[in-house]
Amino acid sequence: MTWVAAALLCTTLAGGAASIYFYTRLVQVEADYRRTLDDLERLTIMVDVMVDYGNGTVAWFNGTRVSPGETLLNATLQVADVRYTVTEFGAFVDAVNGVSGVENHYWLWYTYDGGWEMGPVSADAWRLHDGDVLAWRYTGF
Amino acid sequence: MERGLNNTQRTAVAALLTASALTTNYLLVGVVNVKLMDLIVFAAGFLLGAGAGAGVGALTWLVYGTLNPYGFSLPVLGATVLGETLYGLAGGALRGRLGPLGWRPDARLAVVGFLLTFVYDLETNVVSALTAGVPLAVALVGGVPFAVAHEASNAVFFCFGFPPLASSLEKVLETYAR
Repeated sequence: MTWVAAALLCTTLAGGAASIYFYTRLVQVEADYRRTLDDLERLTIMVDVMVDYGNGTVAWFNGTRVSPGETLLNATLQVADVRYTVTEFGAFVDAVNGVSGVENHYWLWYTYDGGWEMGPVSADAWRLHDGDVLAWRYTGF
Repeated sequence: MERGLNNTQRTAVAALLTASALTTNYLLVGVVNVKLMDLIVFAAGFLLGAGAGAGVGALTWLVYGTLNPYGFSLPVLGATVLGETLYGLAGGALRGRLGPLGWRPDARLAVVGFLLTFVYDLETNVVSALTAGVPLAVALVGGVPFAVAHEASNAVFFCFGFPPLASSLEKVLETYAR
């Protein structure tokens, strides 16, 4: 009986020590995670990107984190599979997530500032700022 | 006279066990906190008596702690010498209380090895923390992986290693005692 009690004492000591150690590690890792997140928030911006496929399907990619001054094209590349052609006027988006090929339909982008306004330049020339809300619409003419 | 040995023979056996502990320590110097020294010191106490076992432990650390690749610290050396004597004292205290030892593993010895090592690690970690000026809680918690390695390895060594080691040495000592 004494030996069993002693063996249980061993397992209790080992278990207790391991619990304290792993709890301490958890607290350290959580603190590291919070600090890293703070750093990330200081070094990046967040934008919301909408993709309207023109067939009733709309997808929002809210809180997309990009570097300050990143272009809309690169932000879109983060959230969708984009095929584009670089022309003398800038990048022209041909397909988003495989949607393309409908006659007289084009991928155009818009920015939101109280209302949707068509992008004035190509997507690779538009620099993003924190809180920007943008949209890609498969627009027919 | 212990086990029919005269004082010279006992001293010679203690010196041999001290040398063995030292040799295995230097052989395992790259394996942190896994050593056969504690088992050998415990065996010394068991075979030669608590005083001799404590002496083997103290002598081993006096050499290993002074000529140590990880450096020298007098307070830590004092703590390790004191802690190591515990194994010898415990070995002496358990003489005749474990019944006949064969060659088979003995779980009771795993418990003994674990608890002795726990006390040793606690004592040496406290002294190391105070010496280095590290907060006690940080040192104790940070030392858990090393302590667990030490305690677990000693539990295994004592359980599986002590019965054959003690049985073999007893036979050798009986031969020389005649």
